[in-house]
Amino acid sequence: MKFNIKKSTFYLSVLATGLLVSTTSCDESWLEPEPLSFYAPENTFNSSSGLWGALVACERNMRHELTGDGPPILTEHIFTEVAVEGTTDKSGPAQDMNLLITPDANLNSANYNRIGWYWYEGFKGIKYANTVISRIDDPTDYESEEERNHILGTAYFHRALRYYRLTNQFGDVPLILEEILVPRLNFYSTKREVILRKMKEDLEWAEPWVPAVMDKGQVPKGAIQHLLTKVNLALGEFDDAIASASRLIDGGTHSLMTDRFGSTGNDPSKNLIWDLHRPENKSANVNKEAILMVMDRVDTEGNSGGMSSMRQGVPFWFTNINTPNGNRGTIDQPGIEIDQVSTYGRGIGRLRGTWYHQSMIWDDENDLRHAPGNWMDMTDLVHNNPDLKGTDDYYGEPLQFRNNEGTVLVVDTIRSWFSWPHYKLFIPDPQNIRPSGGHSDWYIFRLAETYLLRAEAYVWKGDLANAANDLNAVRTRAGAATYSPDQMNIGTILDERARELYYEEPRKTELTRMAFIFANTGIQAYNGKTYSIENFSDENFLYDRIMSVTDFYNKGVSTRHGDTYTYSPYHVLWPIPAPAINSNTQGIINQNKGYSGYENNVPPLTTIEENTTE
Amino acid sequence: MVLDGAIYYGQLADINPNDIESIDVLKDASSAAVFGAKAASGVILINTKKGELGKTQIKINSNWGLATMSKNEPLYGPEGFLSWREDVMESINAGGFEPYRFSNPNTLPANISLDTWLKYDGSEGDPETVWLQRLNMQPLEIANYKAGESVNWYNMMFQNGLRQDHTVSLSGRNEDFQYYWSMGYLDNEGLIVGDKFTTIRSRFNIEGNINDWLTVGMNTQFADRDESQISVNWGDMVNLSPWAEPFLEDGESLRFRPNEEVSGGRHPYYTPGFTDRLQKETTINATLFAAIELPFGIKFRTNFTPRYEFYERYNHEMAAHQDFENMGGRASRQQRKVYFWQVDNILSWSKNINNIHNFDVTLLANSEKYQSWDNTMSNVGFEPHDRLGYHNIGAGINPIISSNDQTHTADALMGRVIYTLADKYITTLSVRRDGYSAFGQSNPRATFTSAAFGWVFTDEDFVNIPWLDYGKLRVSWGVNGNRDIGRYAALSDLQTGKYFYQRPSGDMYFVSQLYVNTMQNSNLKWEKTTSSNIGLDFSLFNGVLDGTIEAYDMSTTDLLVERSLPDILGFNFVYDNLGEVRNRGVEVSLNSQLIQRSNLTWRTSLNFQMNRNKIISLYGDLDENGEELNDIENKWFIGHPIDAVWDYKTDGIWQTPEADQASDYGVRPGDFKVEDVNEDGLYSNADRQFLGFTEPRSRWSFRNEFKVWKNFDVSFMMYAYLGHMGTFNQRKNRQGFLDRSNSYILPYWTEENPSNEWARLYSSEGGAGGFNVYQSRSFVRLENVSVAYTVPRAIVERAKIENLRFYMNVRNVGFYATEFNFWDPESAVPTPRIFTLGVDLTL
Repeated sequence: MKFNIKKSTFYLSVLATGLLVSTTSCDESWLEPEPLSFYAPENTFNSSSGLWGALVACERNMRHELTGDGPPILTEHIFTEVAVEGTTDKSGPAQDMNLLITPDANLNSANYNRIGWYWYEGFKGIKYANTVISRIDDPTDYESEEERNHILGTAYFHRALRYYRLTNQFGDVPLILEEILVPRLNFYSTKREVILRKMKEDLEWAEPWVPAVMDKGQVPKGAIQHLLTKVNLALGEFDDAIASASRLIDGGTHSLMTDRFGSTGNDPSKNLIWDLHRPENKSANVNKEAILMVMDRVDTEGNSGGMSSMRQGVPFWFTNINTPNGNRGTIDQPGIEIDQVSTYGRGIGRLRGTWYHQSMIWDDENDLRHAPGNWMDMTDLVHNNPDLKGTDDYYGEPLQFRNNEGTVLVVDTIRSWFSWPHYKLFIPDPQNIRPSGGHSDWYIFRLAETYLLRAEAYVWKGDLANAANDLNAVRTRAGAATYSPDQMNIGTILDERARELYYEEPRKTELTRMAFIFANTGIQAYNGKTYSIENFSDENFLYDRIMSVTDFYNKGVSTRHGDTYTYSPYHVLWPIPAPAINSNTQGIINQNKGYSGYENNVPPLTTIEENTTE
Repeated sequence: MVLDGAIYYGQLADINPNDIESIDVLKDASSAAVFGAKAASGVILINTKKGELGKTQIKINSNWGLATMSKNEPLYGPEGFLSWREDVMESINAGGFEPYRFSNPNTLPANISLDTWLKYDGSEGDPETVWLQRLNMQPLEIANYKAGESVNWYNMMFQNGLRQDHTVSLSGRNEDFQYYWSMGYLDNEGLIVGDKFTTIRSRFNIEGNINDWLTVGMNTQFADRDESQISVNWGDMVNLSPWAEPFLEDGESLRFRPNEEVSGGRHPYYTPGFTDRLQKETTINATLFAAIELPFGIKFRTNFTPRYEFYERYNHEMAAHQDFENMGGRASRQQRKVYFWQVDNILSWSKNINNIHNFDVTLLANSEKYQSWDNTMSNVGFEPHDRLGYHNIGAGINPIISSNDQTHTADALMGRVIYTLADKYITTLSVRRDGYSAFGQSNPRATFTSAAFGWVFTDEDFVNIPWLDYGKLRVSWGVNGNRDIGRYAALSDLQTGKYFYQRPSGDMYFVSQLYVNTMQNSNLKWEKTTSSNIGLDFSLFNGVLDGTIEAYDMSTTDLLVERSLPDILGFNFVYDNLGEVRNRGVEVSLNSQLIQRSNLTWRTSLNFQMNRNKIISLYGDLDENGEELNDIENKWFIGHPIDAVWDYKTDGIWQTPEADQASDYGVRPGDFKVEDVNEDGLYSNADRQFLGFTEPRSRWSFRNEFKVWKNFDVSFMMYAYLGHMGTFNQRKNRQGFLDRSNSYILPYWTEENPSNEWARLYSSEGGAGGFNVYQSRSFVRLENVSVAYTVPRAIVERAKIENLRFYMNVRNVGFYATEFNFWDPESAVPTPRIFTLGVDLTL
């Protein structure tokens, strides 16, 4: 067989190329790693745009608290008096707190609780912010000193926001103030007050540099002032809290919404409270009440998995409810004659409002936050099972809890029978035929809360007249009658927060903050008791408050699965997740009292300096 | 894996088994040294076929097969489902319920009237309906129950899969030129309905001697795999009620949720029916080589080995699907191209002096480069409709594009000397220096050396043992490197993602977030394994018994690991080189020619392996007593194996008389007892114990081959993995939503019928949330039985046929497991038993 000479030339040239390549391969640049599709920190965080991008990570990270199945915000609610975990058909959900809330338990799952999420994501937010803080002088392309300080101030805000939460969820925690580039395993907890004081300094530095008006989704000056007010309260510095809140309230940029507005503003069947919580109105420029937002839109790259607020907070209404004639009353079938699932969503009753939240706080029938159409009772739903039509007279009639003989018609009265704030949880969900709560911007800070924070500061100071003024500003806007100064106390503040800020505020954080204030100041609470920081985990305001109004943790209530609702004073601080302690092999992160591992604690650090030295 | 002398990074499925001439496995460090970085855990050498001297040959290999279910795992049928669901409801309502509340009203005892029973929840009307509603059955299920119409979902999930595989090859050789060309087509259906895989493979090997000093050649492999098929979602069958309704009112269209309950399962055929997919991978793998013979016994060979990979995945989830309806459909297109090349230049010199001293010297220089380009685009909300699917991706309203390109480089220099003295003493010395760009910031290269000595002691005059035919002792020592880590693992990568802001004008605009996802470690370097081997090859009794005994001791240092970090850093781990792990093991293989007569031969072989590993050190952090600290998060403990199971220990089930003790742990009879080692009533790390190992403690294989009447070949092979354990949390009986789904027929605890292995339905985990139930995973499997018949040469020659052979075999014939009997003991999913009939024909 003849061999083609051209082919042999080709092979020889391959050979030559091979030799060439392998000889040139010995120089060092040949083995330099070459990232093609991702950015490296060194050449990205050295420009102002890189640092702005790092701040976007902080902002987007705030949204995760509110989205997806079993969002963390639920955990902030079930550790307070407003709600309990309502998934009653299995063990695992945080009902029997004494049994399930331990450092080694599953602390980050929709089916358990999200304590671990707050820990982990809180420190992630701190990491993102520290990246900016440590590299603030790397960029050379700032437009001005103002831009540099604006970026730095925003990063300070994000770090302070995370530490405000962590110190009121977990107490003493490690204080990290710089970007960490090499493995470090020698952390110690720093005293809560030391951390908060540092955050206060940072926020006060930031306040002048951050502009009053920013695009929605970004951090404006008002957010700095709002957070500073909370930090001032947490430190027991009430005059400073009143001052920082007043700078925000009187600053001219933000005001309470008192007139109808936005996309629904002309709909006479609706009202102001409805307008305020419509997805399309939250970030609207006309809405002066919004201070800090997280952004979420349908069909938009970078959106979340949806709010899922209806799935979480609406009762499991479509099953286990009979008509008085003994037939299945409700069904979640969309597109039927009486289609209730499309309007109210397919709730699973995971966040189950307590009697306190459903009834005790509602004392004014003009209160728009509890008005028909905004607020839903089970009896506002009707028997909609199409099989009933023509066979059962109760078809289309309102649901009934009992029949005429007094027999309860609801199989699971915890999960399937409670009232809920429809105006807040209802988020259109066009991509799901059984809506679970779609995409919507969400309030992180809203001026109504600033009023309530200042009212609270006045209560601590004993200035009840001013406290009533601020509280009544929120009440009258909602159509409710005013309270008189002699009705003012921390309980009244908490009631108003429950009315105004359900599914919005981090209530466990705020209650623990108040419990700390009682314990640190010795101020007598409305229940006649005084508290001390010495035995904070044994006796505190948060536990007494919950046990005085909840109808679950104080009564030995059990789920149908046989799990009992329990709660203890030490739950005022959550357990530090065990993995953090275990992997910090060269130092000691303190565990909170009441949880195993507490016996290994060492005194927390009390200065900033101790922290930064390795 | 090394294919025709070059390291092969492609998929094994792309190599047609019919093209393989030989497979060799090299394990010791010295032989692995030649192939370096990718050889730390041994080398598989595959050589493909070449032409054979003689006439041009055509070979045809065809086989047809059937994949059948090897072990069924049945679900409750219509009646069993009802009584099981009654037990489910009673266990869910363990908090308390009225007597016989969930029982069939026809079975009420005399002291409970139907009226009382109905009044439990104010029910009236048809007691049967009331009962079924209390079992949480949906209206469709109740209607089907009354009509007596049930569905056997299980039978709809599985099929007997047809398989065929055909290869034709053409080969030939003369003194100067040889070639081998094959084409193969394979079409395999799986066990699951819709599971199908087809591939076309071709190989072209040529080699020509140009003159007395130059030889050139090329081996090329082409493969085209089609993985477009979408199998039914068989996992859904567990959720689906036997009383559910598979069709809509028209009796024809599939019902998305057969009982209209969201957690009650989806129709397994629904999603495949509304998905359009094209998924293919085409690869070309070639080795081009030239060899030159130089004076003085010096040879030079160069290999150039390019590989191309083209991957495409186009997917359309139709708007007609309920999940995608409101999105207006969803489609995506992904394309990836990989181009990888390596060059090996090999200089070798062979010299024999006086037939006593023999030198073999090899020098190698290698370099390689990997590049890949990956584009993905997706869209939703197609206007005016989505019927063009992924073909018009731009027609949607929310286009998202992304790309991910990667590259790496590596090189190696190697030198090896083999010195053989009098064919009895063989000494091998090698040294190599490897480089890899993943370590490129500080430590791209590392040097590895090895030495081996072999002694054929039966060639010594003083060894004269009549029953010992051959004996060779091998000792080797060597260091090898491992670079098995992501290309960019040492770098801190900035993750990006979209977010958006809104201007006061109301306009929304996009911004990109940036955050550091992995902590960088610029000092990352090669992992090194130092191993010592001692081996004995022997042959006894005139070849009746031969075998190998091998023992090794390997110490791996600078392990490439994900070191756990305190999560407050915002990183859970960092890649690092840490610690030392020691592996020791023994491998024995014995082959015996038990019978060798003219009409019957019987050859049997037995293989045994065991390996023990131990963590010697980790990060070098010491506690106050100077003891090294463990990595508790990774569950790595000094002095224990890496695969040790350290977890809570279950100790049977709480029984009815133990109700009080159970309630101390927040659980009740029927729930698992989890050992509370320190008896503090809580579950923490103090309660975890060493329970066993996840890797087999020993592996056995046993093969027998018979040749009967010269023309029949019969063989069978079995293997066993022994002594390891795995989780089997099905025994907790709390998977999914039992009050809305069906279940496998598995035991469960009830008060009347207690068990100590299986928990009650919907059991509580108490304070030990997420604990695991372990059981032995030991098994033995009869893997293969085959029979072949070669038609006698005298007959086929008449038809000008050189060779004709028929065969049939059965794979995965059966298995026995001591404890783990849920589907397959190795994989815990349905596995096929495959029957094959085939023919080999050489013309």
